Amino acid sequence: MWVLQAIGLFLAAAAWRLTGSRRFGEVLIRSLSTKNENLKNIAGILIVRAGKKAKPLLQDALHRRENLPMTLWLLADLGDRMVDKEIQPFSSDQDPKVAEAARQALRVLGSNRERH
Amino acid sequence: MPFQIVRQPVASPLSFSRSDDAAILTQAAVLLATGAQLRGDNKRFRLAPAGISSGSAPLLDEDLKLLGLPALAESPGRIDSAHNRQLLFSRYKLPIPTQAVLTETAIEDKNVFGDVARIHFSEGSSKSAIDMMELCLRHPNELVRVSAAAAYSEHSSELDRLVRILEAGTRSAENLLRSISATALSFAAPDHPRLREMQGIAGRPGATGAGDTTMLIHGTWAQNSPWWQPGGDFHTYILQSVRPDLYSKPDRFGWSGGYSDAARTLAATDLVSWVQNHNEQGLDLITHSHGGNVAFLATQNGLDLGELILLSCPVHVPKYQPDMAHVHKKVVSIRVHFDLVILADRGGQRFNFPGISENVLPIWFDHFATHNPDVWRQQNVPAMI
Repeated sequence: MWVLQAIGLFLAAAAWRLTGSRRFGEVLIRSLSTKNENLKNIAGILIVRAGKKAKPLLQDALHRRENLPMTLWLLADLGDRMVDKEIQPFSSDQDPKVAEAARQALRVLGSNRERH
Repeated sequence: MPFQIVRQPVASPLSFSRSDDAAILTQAAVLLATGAQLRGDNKRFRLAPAGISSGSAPLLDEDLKLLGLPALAESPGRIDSAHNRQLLFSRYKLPIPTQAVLTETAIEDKNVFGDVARIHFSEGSSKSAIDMMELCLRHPNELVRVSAAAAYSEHSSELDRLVRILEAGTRSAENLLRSISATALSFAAPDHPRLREMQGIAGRPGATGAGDTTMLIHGTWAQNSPWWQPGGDFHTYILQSVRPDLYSKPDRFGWSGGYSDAARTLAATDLVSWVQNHNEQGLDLITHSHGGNVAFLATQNGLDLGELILLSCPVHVPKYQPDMAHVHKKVVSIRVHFDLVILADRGGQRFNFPGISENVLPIWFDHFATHNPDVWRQQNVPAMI
């Protein structure tokens, strides 16, 4: 039942926030590969809401090319301008969906910068 | 990035020594209120014949009190701004600009603003108010500059200079700043070409909602999801059973689907451009999740819509709310009980907004049920829109 799994994600996010333990964050990262759209979105939102501490987990996932293009979007959603250079190489990726997502992510990051 | 919601203004004049959102918004409010005081807006309101105005006075006493603003007498007429600037800049040992142009250097020293505000709050004279406005025209933050220009426009002898600041403000990506700029520009220079240019978005044929096209807009991270694209299950269902006018060409509007205010703001700008380029003013939109908030922002940018159907839209009023003047038919919200994705998003689960009708399906938790063709059939959703 996905609802129970969703509650598990909320609990993992709370535990991550309270303890800072990376393994709780990894629970959320792993959930990005689920086929259930609700779980995927909940995990994604909780990862973005975790802010800076999600960055190393997402960077690791990016290096492993896990859950692309979602990992690219999430990195951009963190709004950290330092991730530009890590996203940049993906803008010419062989997978057109990944390349397009990277270009969009860079555009959003650029727009975010202009607004601050 | 939209400004943070301010629950309590920063005690003035301290706000002028700070640069966080609450302080910047307070500075803008102080300047705009001071301009209204000098114009005698409240006095004019009180003198209006009974029945002419049904609203409240522009400046509520309790708000002025909260801002800590001193009482100020009406001060009609324009002052010699260049002369006043010379005296003021000498006082603060600032380089006196040779020409009052928009590109003049911003004053980076927050103490200057803090000091001129402190003097105004203790003196409470039209002179101290004018000094505060004059210096704030060189504030590093554009909202403060625009507010100063708006407040100063009926008192300065250099109207052209203020108009340039306001005109630049109308091009801001920030909704609040753009609205203040455009409103002030319409008073200061009602025939300014920029106003006509802005009105051009809403003034095209079909802007009254007579459009005969419907379009789907996806939500967060759904850019590559098939359901909303031509050939996808929901797109096919809507096209065949609900809206035969559904836009189905490959160049349909799409956005990054990013989970950030920046991504949504960019998407709203792109949506307005898409509609202009396709001459589709007045189109009906069926949006899912934050796609609805993109549509809201687009209406704030002047996009005219016919009907707006919101599926599982997270409620973030007032950050995201429709400009109902640009929605010419109706806004219908369809959602499920206790949507878990909206819970994670920390959005509201129901709209309590005039003009938006809510329909809650007898389904729990599932954020994506609202674009499931089977749900539409079983729950007779077409009858709700």
